[in-house]
Amino acid sequence: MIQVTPEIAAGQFFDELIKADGQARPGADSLLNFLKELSPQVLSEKRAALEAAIKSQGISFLVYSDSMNIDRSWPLDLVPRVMRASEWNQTEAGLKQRLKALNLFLNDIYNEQAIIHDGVVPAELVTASHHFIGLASGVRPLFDTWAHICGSDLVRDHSGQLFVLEDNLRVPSGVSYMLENRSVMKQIYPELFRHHQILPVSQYASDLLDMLNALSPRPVDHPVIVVMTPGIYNSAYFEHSYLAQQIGAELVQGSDLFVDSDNCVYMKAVEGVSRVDVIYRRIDDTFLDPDVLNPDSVLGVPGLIRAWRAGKVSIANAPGSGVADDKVLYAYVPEIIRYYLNEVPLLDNVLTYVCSDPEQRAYVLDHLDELVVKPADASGGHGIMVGPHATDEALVTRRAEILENPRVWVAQPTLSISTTLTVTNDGDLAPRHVDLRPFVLQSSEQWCSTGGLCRVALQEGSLVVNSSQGGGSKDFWVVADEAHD
Amino acid sequence: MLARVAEHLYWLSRYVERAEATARLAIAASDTILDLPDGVPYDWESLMQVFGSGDSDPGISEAEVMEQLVLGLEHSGSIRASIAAARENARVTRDLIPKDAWVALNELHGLIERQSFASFDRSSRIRLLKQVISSCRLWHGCLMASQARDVGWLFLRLGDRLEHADMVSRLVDPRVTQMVPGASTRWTSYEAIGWQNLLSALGGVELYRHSARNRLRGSDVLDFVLRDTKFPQSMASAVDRAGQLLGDLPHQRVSPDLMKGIVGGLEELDFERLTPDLLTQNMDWIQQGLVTLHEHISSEYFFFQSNPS
Repeated sequence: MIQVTPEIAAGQFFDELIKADGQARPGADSLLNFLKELSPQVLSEKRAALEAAIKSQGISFLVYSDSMNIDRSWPLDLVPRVMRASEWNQTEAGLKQRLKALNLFLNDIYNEQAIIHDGVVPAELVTASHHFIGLASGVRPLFDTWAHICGSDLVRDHSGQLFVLEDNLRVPSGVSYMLENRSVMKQIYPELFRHHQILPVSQYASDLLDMLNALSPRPVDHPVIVVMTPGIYNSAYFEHSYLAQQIGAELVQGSDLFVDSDNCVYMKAVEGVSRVDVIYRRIDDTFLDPDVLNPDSVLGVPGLIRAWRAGKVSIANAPGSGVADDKVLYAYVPEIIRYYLNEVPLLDNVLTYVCSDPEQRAYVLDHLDELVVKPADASGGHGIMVGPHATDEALVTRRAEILENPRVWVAQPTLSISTTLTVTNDGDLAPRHVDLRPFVLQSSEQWCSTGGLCRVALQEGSLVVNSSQGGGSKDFWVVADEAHD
Repeated sequence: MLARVAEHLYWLSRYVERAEATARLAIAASDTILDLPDGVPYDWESLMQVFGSGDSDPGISEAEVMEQLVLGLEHSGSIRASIAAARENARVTRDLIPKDAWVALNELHGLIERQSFASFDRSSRIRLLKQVISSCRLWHGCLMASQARDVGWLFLRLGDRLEHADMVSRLVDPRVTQMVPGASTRWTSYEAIGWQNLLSALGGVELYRHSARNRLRGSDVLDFVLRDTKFPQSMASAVDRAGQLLGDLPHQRVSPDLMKGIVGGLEELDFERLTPDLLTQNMDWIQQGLVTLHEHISSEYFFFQSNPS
């Protein structure tokens, strides 16, 4: 049932489970043996059981573009992706290093701006970014930490090396699916979990709670933490509700909160009002406070920025953190790590051309049909053009867009990102492209999820992994290294 | 607890109870007509007036009534609409209710939505209605076992008990039972069937037998379902419990004594000498009292107006 495709055999793609000679990669052998012995009938039974489990537990996400906003069942593939603990540990160290540096950067640009004065990062990249919030200048959040939760996307190229594709520092999403994927997979494959040393992922909720507790401006044993959601029509509402439940926080909407004349944030409860210490917000910066940001926002809380500036409430991630996940700034992250930490980056960036630089722009325009061109500040895979797959018309349009406003475009070589066996619509197993989003936390210390959310492009040859655009997901197993390795 | 969340929990409970009570009514009515001889008509129109929108067609058929009560989307009190609304409220409060309770509700919702596109004959209808009841019982069981006994619990129980009181007031309406004790109706010779129908819609046949120890008598049945506090599904039990819950709410902003006023008229009613109009009138008073009480709870607890400073 399992065959090595010519691309894998030729080393064009790195497969996460199978080597070019068809043998299992270290750590994946018993999974592959199990899959080989799985009859098509058992496979389709497992698939039905998995879909039923997801449906009955209501693990869902909302798709806007449909004629109605409907709850879609979360797409989880039957075949996990596997990584050995030794490789994972190095990756985790690289992710923590990266977030540490990005937080030093954010604290610097909203205060001394030493990195700009030293000429490492151009000033306009920071102050002209529309994620830069002037009102955040001069604020020193607890632990000098701004981005408390970071979800960085990792991809592996044909050589097997892992790269950071982008950092998500505003409201990174997906961690609830990582947790639910594991809980469903344990129901579907109890036999595999018995015989593998698969490291658990469930401590994430405790880590998140520890991280948020440490942010309390009041020295109390049980600070009041709230998860702030735009409401049930947000595509990630499931996750907001799930996380609130997991950490025992109130799930609030902006209208549940108000800021009083003492600059403290309160929530409206049936018992009366109670003060809020920490807001884990899942709404974008611009909606946070209609008094000083987007005045049309009905999702936010008037006066919230005032309360935050006064140090009466902590907001995770802090307003203005988005400056550091701009896709142009991304190109400078290796330099940022060297500048603040005086360390060699443990995880590499993907080579990135910044179109505001005339030389790099010329190269991009000459090689448009080979490159992936991205807008600097979009997420969810929107606005991305994959040169080799683009129509002539799309190439012409993109060229004009780059010339018109070079600052907002970056380009990267088309990566042959790695594959993992995946159940196809026909019920066969075939390789599909995957990425990985681990979640790193920082306040009084740093924590990292064990593995992360693995996303998979379900269409053959496709590189688009976003669930809003037909991507699926996989459980990600970090397995203990065997003793003889 | 957030005022907004308390309101969602309250409505969540009301809708689950409405779905279950409607399922019980539909089963009881289906059972009853099987026992009636051909010449004795069942007044489906009146039943729709009490449970439906109030302006149903004369001569509406059993199948049409059942379709509307169970699957109707245009009828906001149908089981399908109630479960959909319960699920929407549960989605918003999902972080506060036990996972297995959410799964029970979610599965029931899926079942009903699938059913609506399939054929809807009598036996598949009964199967679905029984599934609704057992899912609602499962829901209650999950809450009994795992729901935190905090202020959210008070609102969950309050919603359930107020909805139940309202449903009892509708079930005993002579337009539904089609009878009053002692009065002669076209049903008189089948009286026992009608009273049995009412008891079974409340799941109280066996308890009534234990308590009354005689053949079914209309006045005893009414006394049992309206005034007997040992029967947990009676009006009196629902009202007593709702009063206790009001007393337990933070700052007691709604007086528990209001409950007594709503059912005060029941004490004086003589069930041996009752006209259909008098019973209907009393039940209407109770329903209006419950509406007023609900508005009171809403303004005191759900619409947050307190000056923070």
